[in-house]
Amino acid sequence: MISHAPILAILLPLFAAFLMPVIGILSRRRGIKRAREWFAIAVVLAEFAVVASMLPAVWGGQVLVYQLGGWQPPWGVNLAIDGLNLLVALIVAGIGTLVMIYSFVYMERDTGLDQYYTLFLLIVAGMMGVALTGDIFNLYVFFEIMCISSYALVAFRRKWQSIEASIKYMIVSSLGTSFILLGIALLYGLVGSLNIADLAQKLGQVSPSAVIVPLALFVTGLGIKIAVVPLHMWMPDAYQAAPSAVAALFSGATATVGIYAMVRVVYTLFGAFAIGIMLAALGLVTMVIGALMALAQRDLKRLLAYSGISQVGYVLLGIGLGTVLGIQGGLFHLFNNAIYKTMLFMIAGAIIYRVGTSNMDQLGGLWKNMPVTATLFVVGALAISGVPPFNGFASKWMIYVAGIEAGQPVFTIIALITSALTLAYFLKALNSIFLGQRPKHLSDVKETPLPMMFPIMLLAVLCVVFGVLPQLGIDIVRPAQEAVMNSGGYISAVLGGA
Amino acid sequence: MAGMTVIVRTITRLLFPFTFLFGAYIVLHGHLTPGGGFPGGVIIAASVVMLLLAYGIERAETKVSFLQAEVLESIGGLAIVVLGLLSLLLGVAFLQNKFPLGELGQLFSAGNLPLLYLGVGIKVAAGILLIFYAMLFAFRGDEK
Repeated sequence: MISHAPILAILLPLFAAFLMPVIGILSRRRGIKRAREWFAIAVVLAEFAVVASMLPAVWGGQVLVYQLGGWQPPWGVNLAIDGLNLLVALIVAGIGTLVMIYSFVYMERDTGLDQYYTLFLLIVAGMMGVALTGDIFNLYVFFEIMCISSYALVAFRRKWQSIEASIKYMIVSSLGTSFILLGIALLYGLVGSLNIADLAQKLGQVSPSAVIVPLALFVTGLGIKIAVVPLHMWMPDAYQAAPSAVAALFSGATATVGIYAMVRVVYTLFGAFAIGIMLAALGLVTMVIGALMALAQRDLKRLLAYSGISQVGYVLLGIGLGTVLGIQGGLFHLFNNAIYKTMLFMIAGAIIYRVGTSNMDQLGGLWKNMPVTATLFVVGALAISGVPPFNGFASKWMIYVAGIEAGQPVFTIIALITSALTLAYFLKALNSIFLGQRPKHLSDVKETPLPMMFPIMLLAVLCVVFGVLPQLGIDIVRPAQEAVMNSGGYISAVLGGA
Repeated sequence: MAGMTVIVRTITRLLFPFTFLFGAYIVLHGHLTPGGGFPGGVIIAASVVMLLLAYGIERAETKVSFLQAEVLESIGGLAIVVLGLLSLLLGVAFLQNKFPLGELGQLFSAGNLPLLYLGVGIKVAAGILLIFYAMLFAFRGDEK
């Protein structure tokens, strides 16, 4: 079965998503409590095991190629997994598992949970598909699966605000997918292939001027998906309006998948290491504007959304520098960002669960009520601001050094200043939520329930572990970095040296 | 929704079996003729929607309820995935056609393709009906 692991990783959540309505109906008929929740958790755990089973082979330097229907690439659709794919799949499966455990209690007051778990599993299936596929059109289809489920989940609570955010997200994001589709169409017109490896090989022989338009379309379309400034306007609304569990999944996993697609398309497909400097510049703008906007926010979830935009800027900066250290730092930061951003959104959700609002003007002094949650928030805030000994410091340090080594000290200075800004807005959030005067009606707020606390704690432990032992994290991202820089290996593995 | 006049009702009653049969024909001959699961499923859904418009939602729900449509949709989706997984169990790649291929042009031929079309047909028919129900219920303003 191990040789079928790539396809099982996509099928498992897809199968479970179709099964979920039936399980919901059966559990209501038979009166079994929480059958959906346990089933969903079992599925994502199995999913994680499937992804983990691919680790030894891929970290051993192998590229796993799985041919759907037994058709040879470039004719058939295939899944190709190298270090980069696997890193993303690992993040998706891990974050998916933790958010699912978190949803168990967090979503218990909502109705329509059949739909929630179905859509959740569909998003996981879509993300896994984007992460593992070796076919550019497949990538587009899985992106659509992921995004369309996301629109529905943003509007899940059916308030006016969330429906507005969902429609905005849908319109902007559809524009992005149309750009990607148009880019794919142009590429197909140019060389007549949809397989990423085959395209990459054939595009080498096409004149560069013909490739510029599809490349621009891809960068713009994917830029909308990962909310690069100035294409970010949908993201704060969507994250604020979505249930916190969903926002945690989006910020941890969906953003990662978007960046993966960007790296895969720009570096492997187009081999365009030259436009890395453009990505780095975009990253700089994104991190500065994201941090400045975050400073001005009064809602915790909105602040976290802007901070997420800002962190994506760091990843783009690292990856855009194009050096070994830069790409390693960028991917390590991507990994770390998934950890602490998910954790912070979960904490925001815990506050909403207990207090009912994430508006920082109405909160205060919660330190006395939720000491553990407050401590975890401090861990997350320090990690994201790049304070040692947490994981954010390790990856940001690598990006700073990479900036200087690449002869761009200005980039490093801007990144450093943004880090200070990050610390500033998180101190502001900490001060207005957990410190200060406590409003009278908040005096009997209880601590976060344990099932919700567990995933947050696990992520906090990871923050410390990767901060104290950064080498461990670097070992995890090194195969991914090698995969980014070795597109020839990917191509020859998929096409069998043809 | 109240339904329409007796003329519309009579014509719908006469047309319904033929429309439904035509949809089923398109689905089942998906591997032989133009068409297949998606268009066939749409035609089947359209035949039920026609009943729904002529007789009103209460009568239509006695034929296919929301719950039944929901279950059917899941079954359609599951059928496709199960067929794919079946190939894995037979020791070949996902969705690889391992069933006997039969003779070209026969109804029972082409391995797993007719079964796949059947799954798609069920899924599409139930899905479109569900969308229609959901929009109607949104205006009715009560549960789901």
